[in-house]
Amino acid sequence: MSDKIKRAKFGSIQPDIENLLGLTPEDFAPATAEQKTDCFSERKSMSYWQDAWRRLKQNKVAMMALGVIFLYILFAFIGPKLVPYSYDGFIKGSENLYPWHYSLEDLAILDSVSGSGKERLTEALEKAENDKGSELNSIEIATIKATIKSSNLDTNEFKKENDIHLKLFGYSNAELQRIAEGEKVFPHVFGTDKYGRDIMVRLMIGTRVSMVIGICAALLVLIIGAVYGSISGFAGGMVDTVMMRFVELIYSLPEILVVLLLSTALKPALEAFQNSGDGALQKLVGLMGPNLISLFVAFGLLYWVTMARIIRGQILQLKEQEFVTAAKALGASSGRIIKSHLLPNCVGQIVVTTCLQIPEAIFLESFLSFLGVGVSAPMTSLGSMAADALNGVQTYGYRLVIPAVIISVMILSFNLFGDGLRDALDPRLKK
Amino acid sequence: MAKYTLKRFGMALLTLLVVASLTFLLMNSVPGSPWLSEKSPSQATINALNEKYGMDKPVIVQLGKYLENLAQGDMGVSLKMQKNRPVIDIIKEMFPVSASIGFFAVLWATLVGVTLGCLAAYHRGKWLDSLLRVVCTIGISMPTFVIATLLLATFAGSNQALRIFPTIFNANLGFNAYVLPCLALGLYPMCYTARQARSSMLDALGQDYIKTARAKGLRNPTIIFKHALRNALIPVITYLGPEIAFAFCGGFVVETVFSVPGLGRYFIQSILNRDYPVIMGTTIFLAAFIILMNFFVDLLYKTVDPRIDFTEGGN
Repeated sequence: MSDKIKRAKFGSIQPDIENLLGLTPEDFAPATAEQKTDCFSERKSMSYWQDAWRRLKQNKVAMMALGVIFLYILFAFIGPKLVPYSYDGFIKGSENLYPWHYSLEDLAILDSVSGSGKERLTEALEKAENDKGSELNSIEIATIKATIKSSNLDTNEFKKENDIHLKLFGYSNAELQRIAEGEKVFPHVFGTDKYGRDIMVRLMIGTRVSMVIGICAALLVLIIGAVYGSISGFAGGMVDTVMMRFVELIYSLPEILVVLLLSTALKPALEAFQNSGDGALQKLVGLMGPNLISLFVAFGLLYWVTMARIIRGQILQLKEQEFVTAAKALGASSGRIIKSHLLPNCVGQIVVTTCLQIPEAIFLESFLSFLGVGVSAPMTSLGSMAADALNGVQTYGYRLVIPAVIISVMILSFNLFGDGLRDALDPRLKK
Repeated sequence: MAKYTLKRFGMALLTLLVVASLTFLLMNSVPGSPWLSEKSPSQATINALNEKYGMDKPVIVQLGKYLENLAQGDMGVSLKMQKNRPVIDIIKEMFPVSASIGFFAVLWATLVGVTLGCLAAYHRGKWLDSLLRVVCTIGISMPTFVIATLLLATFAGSNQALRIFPTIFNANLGFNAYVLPCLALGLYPMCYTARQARSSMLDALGQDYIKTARAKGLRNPTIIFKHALRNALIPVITYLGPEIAFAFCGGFVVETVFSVPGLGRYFIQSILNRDYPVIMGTTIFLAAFIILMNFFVDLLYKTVDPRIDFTEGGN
């Protein structure tokens, strides 16, 4: 038998015999004693979740995505506690730092060079003036400045000669001085923005905002969708028709427009509510921030329809089965049947849909924040950081790229994990 | 079919009514008013202004009045951004810009997406398929603003050689002006369409009628383009409705990034400025447009695939 398996031509209706058998001589060797005992040992029975977890573990992409999500959680929730800067604290003297720096000695050398550049400029200007014999006009001065500057541009070579390298992380000069004096200063890993706020902490908080909104919105969608869908499916008949008409109506609303309006309208209302009293609810609103709540409420109010449809479909199938009839015969109430017999049976679908809802919510949040109608200052979000970075994109391009990459990788890993979860929980859906 | 069309049309009208009322009520529940600007006017001025624009009456009366005017094609006048200019005029001026960008974006997204999807299905399991799948998965994980801003950063960056396309929209430049906005707007739908086209093409290639066609001895291109593609396109058509909606609403971001004087950008500005009539007018107009597109796509779907049953009980 050749090593290469011959495949049938594309679309051929000939059966793929060689592939079908695919046997090698080794396959005909007698079984060892070990293999025999393996064959007869009983397989442990597995629960639904054990089975799903086993399948999920085999999916390398999904496991990698899960690892990335875990890293993101660490970054967003533990990170801000480790960094001694706050997302809204201005650090005086550290404005607009790059995420790299020169050491103090190198700075001194560079300073002396640019100082000599100045001297060269004055020299050149004086020389030109003497040559011409009269005052120089502004155009001539500009030309001379430009030539001096371009001759100065071989600083790169100069840096190489003197062994001057950029070093990682941003420090302001004052901070470098403090380090030289033996103090420990936490670096600005991604530099600082124009108000002197540490960009890395802001990124952590922004990631946290995105994740909180994604997860809360998905949970809200889950609750509304599950209750609505199961009632509609279980009741059936006229109730079902009316409830599904309503779903259809919400389905055809232009969602982005309504979410935009809802989140702008809810925010002031929630702020007013927060200031209205001192109850537990008001405290909760204060804790999460009115704008976060308004974002995921707006999301939850519109996106539950998909969940409701899916659950209704499942319930419609399940409610005709014998165990429901048995529960009815035993006198269980409708609420009890839904809660403890029907919903647990569609938990796979529910988990998958919820998980795929998270990236969608993150998507929407970043979209709104980018447009300036989402999370409002001083709170930050990846979307609004990208929007802020647009103005200085030529000088500070990394300020745009970093949040953009963070949000894309986050959505990507949620998507991949959701897909993996779907394959693991419901193998029939696998494409 | 006629009954179905009528029913769908009724539903569309109802949805539009809900959108109009919802927007109106939401707008009126937002604290702050269009009269508040840098110099705060006196209470008497505010009262007079409220009376002039009918904003002193109960909300429900205002809503009724607004809907009545709307039925006659009157959307009121802008209160703040372009004072006293009819909203309908503003829409007439700005919508064509948004529409042309949205149209070209949807066009390239669908054409390229379907082609790539078919290619991937045809080369199933080979490197091209894997490559396309990776690219498309990354593509649908990037928000439009990320794509748009990264394009902007690349083409407006410090590298002079890359400054091929203008990053500030200028309709007079013709084709070049449209390249970046359309590219940014169409990437997400393109990737989505490609994924969908791939799976439905694979589905179609596994069907019995393809085997029959092969048994008849038809050539590969005939089978793919005449038999498989036609059926594979049906799920793609269902996505066209949301895709068009996306192209016009995703336009908010693209228009902001590339400074396109379109309706989306104006809508965001009107929300920030609390210019009620403009918000109302734009929302209703865009909603009507989206609902109408969905309506047409549904009808198209039904025409293309007569097997689909929309009557009671059908799904």
